[in-house]
Amino acid sequence: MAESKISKKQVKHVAELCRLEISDAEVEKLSALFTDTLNYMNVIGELDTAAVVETSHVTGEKNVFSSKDNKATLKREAVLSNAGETENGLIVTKGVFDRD
Amino acid sequence: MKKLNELTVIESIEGLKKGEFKCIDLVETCLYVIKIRDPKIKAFLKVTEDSAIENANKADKEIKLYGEKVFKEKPLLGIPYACKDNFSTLGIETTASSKILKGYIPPYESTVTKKLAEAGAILLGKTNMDAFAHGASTETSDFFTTHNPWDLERVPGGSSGGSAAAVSANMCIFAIGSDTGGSIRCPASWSGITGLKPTYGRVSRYGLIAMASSTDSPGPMTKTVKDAALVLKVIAGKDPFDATTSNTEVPDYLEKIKNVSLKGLKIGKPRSYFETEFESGVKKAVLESVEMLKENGAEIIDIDLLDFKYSLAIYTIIQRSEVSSNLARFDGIRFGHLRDHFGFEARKRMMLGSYALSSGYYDAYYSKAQKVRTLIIEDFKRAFESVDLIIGPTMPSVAYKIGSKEDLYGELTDTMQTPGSMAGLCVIAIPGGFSEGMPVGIQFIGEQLAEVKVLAAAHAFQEITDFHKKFPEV
Repeated sequence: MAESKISKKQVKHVAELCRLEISDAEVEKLSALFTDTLNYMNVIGELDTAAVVETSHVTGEKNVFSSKDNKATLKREAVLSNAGETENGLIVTKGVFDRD
Repeated sequence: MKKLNELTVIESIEGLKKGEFKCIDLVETCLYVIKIRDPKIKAFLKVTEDSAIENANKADKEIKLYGEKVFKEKPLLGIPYACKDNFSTLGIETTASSKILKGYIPPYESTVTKKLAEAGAILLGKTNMDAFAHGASTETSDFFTTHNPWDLERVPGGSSGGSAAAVSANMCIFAIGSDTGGSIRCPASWSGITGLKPTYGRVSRYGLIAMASSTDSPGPMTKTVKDAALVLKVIAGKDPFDATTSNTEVPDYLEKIKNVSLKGLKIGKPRSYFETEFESGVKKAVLESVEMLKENGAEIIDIDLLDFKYSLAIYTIIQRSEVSSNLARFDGIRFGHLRDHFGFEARKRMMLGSYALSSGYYDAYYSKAQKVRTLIIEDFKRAFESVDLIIGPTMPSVAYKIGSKEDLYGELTDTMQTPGSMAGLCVIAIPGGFSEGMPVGIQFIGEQLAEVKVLAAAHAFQEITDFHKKFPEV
């Protein structure tokens, strides 16, 4: 595989995708770190996988469904017990849209 | 004579059955030792002293009331254990050593801790780890670093470093860890104890704070292989809350490994694991262990496996991709704090994972990695056609000095762990000698669900050696 490089712009973009705020110093550091890591990961290009299928899980189990008897659930108070802000038995979140 | 905190699980049960001591003695001794030793070692994030004492008194009453037969129903009754802090414990703060989960009190119990409680085991406390299990040293813990009981200036290994140190320093009778890419085996090796990474799906992940969901495997960290066998029987099995758990029946591991011998056992010795560069003292100890297996009747067969550089590369891609997905749910709305509380390591992993999964790079990284994973699985299958087990060093070095590998946190030292994780195999790490006064580990790798074979060989090794009987002076 060709040499990879993650630019500072790409680092900032990925941080945004992850909803993470990073400082300029971190952008610099991460761009170098990610470039190194990606170049290390490129060794897998040495293996021919043209005729190979992907493995996403290793157990071989197929079509596992939950039993209809499996009705366990948490009580509302339990679910709310760790929430930052609650109101009338609901979780308060930040607004998504601007109203003005 | 051994002090109570130094006992194994099996010795503790024998003592309780014979009435030589009570559960409360066992628990109070461990709590006392934690008070004396843990300020130096820092294995525990939280000690659940009150509930431990209460549960010990209850256990004593049960033993008095029902006698020895109560152990049939509750095979770990009264046995104090330490649990890694990424297992959700109802009503007990669970942080996975991360600041973003500081103060989080789970409203439900993980299957592993539930099963242990039902079997009568007593939780002593929650142990330190690399935050979200991202590391091999406990240095990425958002709270503090755990010290290796063999040398306080060194790391205990990780990410289940607190659990390993707690067992090694005899602050508990056994402990629970989780292993995604070596997180049980690495600290077991560096802290000189026994650690079993069961087959993926053998032990439920329900209530375990996810790292990489396709390889996360909870398992026992103990003083002997027999203890690991006993604890595994309790925590293994199908769980309706984890669809990846296996339906295969859970055997009586302890019974099955009691009378085994190494005679005729075919053990594969991968050239790539032994020809790689690693510390000479570690290499010497591991080769001596291999020689001992041979002298006791095992047949050692040189085999070829894919270079583990491929496993490490795909592990890095797959694990970070899964981390980016698993940690996306931390929004500070339903539980935990805002995302600015994530430590550097977690942020780094999420970002690289998102990159590998994003459009334009997915095929080159994530998809390619999952294909290479298939090759690694096939590679092991081929190897297991001619051998029963595979042996290797657990770690290429002994534990390093705290702070000496700042930007890696021991990750590159996980080289010999990732192939087994990627293929979902069962692997046990046990003490296999010493180098520079520090413990060295050897590992036996078996096929999926070959726990009996792996445990049996490891137990047979412990019958002819006493590396596992040595503990540090703390």
